[in-house]
Amino acid sequence: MESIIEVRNLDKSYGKTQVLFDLNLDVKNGECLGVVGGNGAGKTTLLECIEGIRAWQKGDILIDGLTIENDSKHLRKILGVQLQSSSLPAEIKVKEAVELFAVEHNVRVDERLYDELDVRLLLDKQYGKLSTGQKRRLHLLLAVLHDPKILILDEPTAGLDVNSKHLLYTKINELKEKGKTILLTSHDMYEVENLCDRVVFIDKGRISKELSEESLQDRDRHVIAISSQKNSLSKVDTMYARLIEEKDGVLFFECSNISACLKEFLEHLAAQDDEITDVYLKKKTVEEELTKMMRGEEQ
Amino acid sequence: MKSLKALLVNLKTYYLMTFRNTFLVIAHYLLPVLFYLMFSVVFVGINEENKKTIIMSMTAFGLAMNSYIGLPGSVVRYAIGDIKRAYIAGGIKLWHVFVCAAISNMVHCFVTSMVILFTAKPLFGAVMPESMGWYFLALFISIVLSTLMGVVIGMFSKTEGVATIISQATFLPSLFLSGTMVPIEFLPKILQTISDLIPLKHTYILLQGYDQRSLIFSLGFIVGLLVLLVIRYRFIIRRE
Repeated sequence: MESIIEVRNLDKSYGKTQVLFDLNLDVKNGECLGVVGGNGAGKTTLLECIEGIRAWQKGDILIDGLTIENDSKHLRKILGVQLQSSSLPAEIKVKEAVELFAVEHNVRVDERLYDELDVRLLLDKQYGKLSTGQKRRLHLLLAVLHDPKILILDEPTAGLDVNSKHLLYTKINELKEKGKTILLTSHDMYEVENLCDRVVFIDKGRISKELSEESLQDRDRHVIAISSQKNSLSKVDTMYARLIEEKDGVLFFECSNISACLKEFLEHLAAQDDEITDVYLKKKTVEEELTKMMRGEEQ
Repeated sequence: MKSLKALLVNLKTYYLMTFRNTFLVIAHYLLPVLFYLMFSVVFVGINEENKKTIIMSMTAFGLAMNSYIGLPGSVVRYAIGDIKRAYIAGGIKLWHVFVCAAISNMVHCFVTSMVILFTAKPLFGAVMPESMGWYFLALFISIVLSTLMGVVIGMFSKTEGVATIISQATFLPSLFLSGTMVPIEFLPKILQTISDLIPLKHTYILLQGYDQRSLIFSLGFIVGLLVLLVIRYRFIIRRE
């Protein structure tokens, strides 16, 4: 799949503080790429450089083969942007904002969007009187109303209630199915795991790790923490699990086929006349990867 | 054509928004009319001769109130911060917004001026302008000039707070050095000289009748302010 966004050797500083270091990133056409990292890692800055809101000191950004310096007019048509921190005049009504953004893009609003994003009942409300969730939904509507090829969403569900989140997930999934390229940041790892095809981790302005589509699909991986009376599992020769840690009599196994793995353990325990004293099972998540990275465990 | 349509929708939206903002309604309509009524009673009460200039002085006051106090605050929010970023990211041309703010303010100024023009005679026995043709031309120039002043204050301010301070710092000296409140001849020589740099002084003079010097000053100010706006606009829309 060819790249639709190419970031090459990007350096960005605010005054004397450098926040992005020789950063390279490719976003493939039609994929949903998640950018995750701790606070201040440089996620928003990276997105804002791509959106053409921030200037950078060194490097290149190509979007659909075009640069923001020379082709900003065309890029505004193919980019849909939801900023992390965004606002409209408090007195503008929702329907006026929609009309304003639509007329600037020279498009007619697809009224189904009002229902899909639950905005129809807000049309006569002033922006200043909307709740956080309502504002987020409106901003997503404004980002997609011109049917952009690429969507950039900076923490789209931050501060939203469960219902609003689900509305947004449904919409984002629908856009994915339509083949739109989506670049999103989030602190919600459940969101990243379930929406994204690929995830990159940013740490201190650098891409420090990438989870490919394959490894994200391999999210059946579980960690089993298990302890038994005779601790016989420490010597088990298993086909389906890999012992990753032993701590205070508890064995931590990583396994990809949970059913086969548990069956194997139970057979081994029965053969050794051993009994489980405690067992804990959990999925390996992107959150774990991120936490590890932030603690520097990967090194 | 597409750009004109976008500009018209922007203008309609901007104008309607003014009436949903209490501060702007007060600054654009309520205060200018209220002060006009109050000052006219006082000025005409002090000296009957003021009937000759009450329309011009109160119109100049109304323009300053509208443009220096009401306009900058609503311009600055598009020149900085989250609204500006949202508009740029959404593909909205910021110059549309600034042009709409200016046109909208010009409408407010014109409405206020007409209220003064057509009520001053029946209410206070004011003398109407000698030449209505010249009066309207001078009014147009004055409205453009005061509006540009307001837009410049808004676009050059870094926060709404700064805009308010600059607005006040422009409005009050303008009133006292323009001759609308105190005759220029009563001011010390040095202030009389400085007053030439006050656009409102030339507005007041032009509204009273043709004056080549004030016309040149006013047109000069307009050109200078336009140049400043273009320079500042390029700075505002640059990537941060």
